Amino acid sequence: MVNVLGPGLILAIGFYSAFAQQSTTGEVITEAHSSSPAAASVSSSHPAPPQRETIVFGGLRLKNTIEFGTRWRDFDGNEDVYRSHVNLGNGVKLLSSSFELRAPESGGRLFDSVNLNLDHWGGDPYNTARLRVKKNLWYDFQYHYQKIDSFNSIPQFANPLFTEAVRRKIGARQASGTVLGQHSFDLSRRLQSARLDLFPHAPRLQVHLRYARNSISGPAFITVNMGGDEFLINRRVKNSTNDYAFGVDLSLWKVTIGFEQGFRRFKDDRGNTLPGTFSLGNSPDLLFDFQQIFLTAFRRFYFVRGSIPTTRLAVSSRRLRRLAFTARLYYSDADVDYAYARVFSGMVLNRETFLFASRGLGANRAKPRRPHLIADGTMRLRLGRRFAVSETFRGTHFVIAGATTFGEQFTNFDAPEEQVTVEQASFRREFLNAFMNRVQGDYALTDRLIVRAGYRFEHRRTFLQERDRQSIRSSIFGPEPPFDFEPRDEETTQNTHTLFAGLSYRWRRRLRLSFDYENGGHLTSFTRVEPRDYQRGRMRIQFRPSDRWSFTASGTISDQTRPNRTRQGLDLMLRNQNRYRSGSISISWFPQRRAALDVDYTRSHITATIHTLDRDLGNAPRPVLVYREDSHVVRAGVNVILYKNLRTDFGYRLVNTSGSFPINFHRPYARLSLPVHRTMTLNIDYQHYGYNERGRSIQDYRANLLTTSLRLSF
Amino acid sequence: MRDWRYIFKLGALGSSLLIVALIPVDSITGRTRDESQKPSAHQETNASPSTAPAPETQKRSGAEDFVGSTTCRACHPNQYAWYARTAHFATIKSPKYVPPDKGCEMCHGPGRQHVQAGGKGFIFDPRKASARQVVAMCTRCHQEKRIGKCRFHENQHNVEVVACHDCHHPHQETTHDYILRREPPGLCYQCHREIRAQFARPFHHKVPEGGMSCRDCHQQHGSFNTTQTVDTVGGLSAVCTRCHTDKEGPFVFEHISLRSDRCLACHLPHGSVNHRLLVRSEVRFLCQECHGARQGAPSDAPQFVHDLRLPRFQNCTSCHVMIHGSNTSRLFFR
Repeated sequence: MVNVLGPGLILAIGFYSAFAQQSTTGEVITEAHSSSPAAASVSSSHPAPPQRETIVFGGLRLKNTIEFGTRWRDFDGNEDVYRSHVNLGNGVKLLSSSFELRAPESGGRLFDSVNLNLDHWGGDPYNTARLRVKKNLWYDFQYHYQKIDSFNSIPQFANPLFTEAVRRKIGARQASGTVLGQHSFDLSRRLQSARLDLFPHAPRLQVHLRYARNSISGPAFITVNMGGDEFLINRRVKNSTNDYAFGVDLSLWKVTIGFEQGFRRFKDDRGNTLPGTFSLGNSPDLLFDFQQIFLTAFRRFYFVRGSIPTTRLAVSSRRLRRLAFTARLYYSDADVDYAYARVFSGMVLNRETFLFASRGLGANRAKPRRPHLIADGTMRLRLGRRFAVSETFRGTHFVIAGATTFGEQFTNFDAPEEQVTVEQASFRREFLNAFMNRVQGDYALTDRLIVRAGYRFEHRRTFLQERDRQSIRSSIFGPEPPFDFEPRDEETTQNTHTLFAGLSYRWRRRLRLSFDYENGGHLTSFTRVEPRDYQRGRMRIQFRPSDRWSFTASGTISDQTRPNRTRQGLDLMLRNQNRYRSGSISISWFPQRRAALDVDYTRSHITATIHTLDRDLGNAPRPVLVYREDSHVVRAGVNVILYKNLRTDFGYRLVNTSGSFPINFHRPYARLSLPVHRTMTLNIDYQHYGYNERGRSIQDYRANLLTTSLRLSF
Repeated sequence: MRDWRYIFKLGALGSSLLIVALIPVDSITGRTRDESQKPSAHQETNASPSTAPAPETQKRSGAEDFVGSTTCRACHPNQYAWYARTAHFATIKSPKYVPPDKGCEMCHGPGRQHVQAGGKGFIFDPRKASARQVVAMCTRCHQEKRIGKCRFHENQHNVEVVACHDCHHPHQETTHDYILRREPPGLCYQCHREIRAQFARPFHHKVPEGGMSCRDCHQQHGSFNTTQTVDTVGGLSAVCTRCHTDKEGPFVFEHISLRSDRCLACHLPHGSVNHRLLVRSEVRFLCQECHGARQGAPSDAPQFVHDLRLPRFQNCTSCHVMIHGSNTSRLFFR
């Protein structure tokens, strides 16, 4: 009822006021709600007159705005996909609220300004609150709260070409398993951060304190692999993190020394259960030795407690004419205590013993640790009026070391007297030493034109050490001697060299142009993937011939080749290639003070060719997999101030993608702002969301959202 | 071994440059401090009635050249009123600050000539100055004091001659935090149009909706990390784990690309047409780009234990559930 009466009442009041008052001063400009680029451009290029301020006790200035209203939703299609994308619902909302209390000319005793902003409260999936209190020379306190609801329940396809016809053709045995990804979640994330800066403008000493808290909770679905099949299970997510930090910045002679000591404490209490009391898994047709795999119960619990102390030290130059330098040292030592327990009943195939088990009880303890050191620095030396040289380095060293023990006891109802216990112990240690060095020279041909060129070297050495032991004990056959798996020691060294060059040109705020080109190698993942050969060119132009016109263009061209040698001793090189092209152009036009037009067009194209080897085809490469994405993104917005201060704002946003995953996501919108009083503006906002997934209609949806709101300023 | 020699040589070269640079120039040239701070001839020729050189590069002025902000207020009352709302106004209020580090003339330079000329010229106007002059003027006070702002001169904005006043406005009508011209992301979108297009895609971080800000992830004044991401407390280089703390670990069995390539190996942070911000629409594409072939594996090792033609093996994460890291299973099963 509120959903219907609320907006109706607001509309009635608004239109009555609009026609009753022929003259509105419209001092309140809805800048915070200029969601469209055009509206934002108008308010930026033609600033609104100052908002109303009220002088309260002590000469303090108070400025307050609040916007509240109601949203209706008309919906058709797959709601899970809509919630994964947009997730806006019906109801009464506090759309935005801004409170500002300010002492004139920074002359307050306790504070110079207090700002409190609240946005999107009342059931929207993204709530934010910001508080800032400061007294300029004494302190600056900031608090930020965010609540973000994340929902994802989209059936991602493993392979859309794997249709039911193909499934039938190759038979049930081959076609077992699902082609859809089953993982989904409905999580709520709360982020809080507070920071207090003491003496923020003091020339010698500044102090800061920080605190942050992050918690995530909610239900989810994931899968578990249990002895030959995958089962869908519930997941309860519950984890939280607390960060504390204290730091000082001390300026001495020509340097500033910064020090910060932080501490993070986190805990994670997850749990899994089987939905229902019976599950045949994803492959009910799949039989092992004529035995059906199934679960009748499954419970799993994780208890994770961790801490990460972090130390940062930085030294940077201060007021040196020719030299600017910074050197930093970061050290952290992450440490985790981990426990895990699970119990199940049903019928699964034990991977270690290749025996069927109808009941199992397992437990796991682990204690990983990760000391991590980063040292980096940069130095810029001006040699003469026009030339400057920069040197940047970064060295990284980390070790991930951990031991884990896992034991599980299995029972089979067919032979209840036989109990098998499997124990596994693993030790793993990974080292990484990496170094990057970058030298760059800048030469100012004129005050407007700067050219630059440089060289970057990257080195990475990794070492992986793994030891595994397994023992199996049977109540009938007794214990077997422990079995040590073959030790695994892998060492990899990778080096890459890259040359880069570019230029930048600027003429006042009218024209700005920059171009960059890089050619060389880029380190990718860890030990098993070769560095990537790449070349990349980027350009950006911004041109403002007058205050009425603005043009922006940017483009990126990138080609990457990743040569992968398959095995030692085999001269077989697979080259995965990634080709990326992107271009964007935008035009903003302000024909007069009361109108603006803003148009963007972006085109991007990705082609990735992926070579893999196949088990059954030996070393012969399989046919190449190709991922292709050809995307057009268009945004057009018009903002017009019509009669008096009646503001309209409408436009269209379109994402059209063809290739491996074709969609046609479009979002037309319109907004009407009608000042009905010096302190009151009526806003009517309409948005449409259409997904239009092409080829597979199960994910399609259309949503129409109408929001009516009142914005009060006092 | 050759690499370490190379690193040693580069380090030695860098250290030498640093030592040379740190030797006070005055001690070599014998010039006095005032002489060494004289602007170059090129800079002096910039002085004209229409625009004066940046205060940072001006010839040292005497106290008699400064007229004080009250004089400026007489002709520029609006600018003064808006300026009074900012933290810069503290330089007027506090007796600690003296010319040239006080009030309007702190940025615009001494105003006596400007006043004597009837308000025509002889004042530093950032709108007509080059980006380098503006940056030099602002960084006179705004040194890289904070740990997060330690690489200002190397930051991409500085390289691409973006000047401070492109984003900040010390005296404009509408006030935003840090005297920004507009609130992010609108401010950032003015140049980064292609990023705005990425955020228009169906899956994106909630920046356009106001749930997040560009500043949550990026350090706009320069960072040592790729794409100028902010530093983090625990992960140091992985900005994503500031919020996604459950992916941080450490794990006994870490998916190492998380630490070396960071999350960008698999995810597009701004926006994607693929769910979970993935770079590819199907799992079989995503994983096999790296795991298609094994470098350095023993010659008799099987390439795959799975028949990748079957759908159940194309959904890698159906079994390898804990793909970010596990403390129990080397293969990320649990």
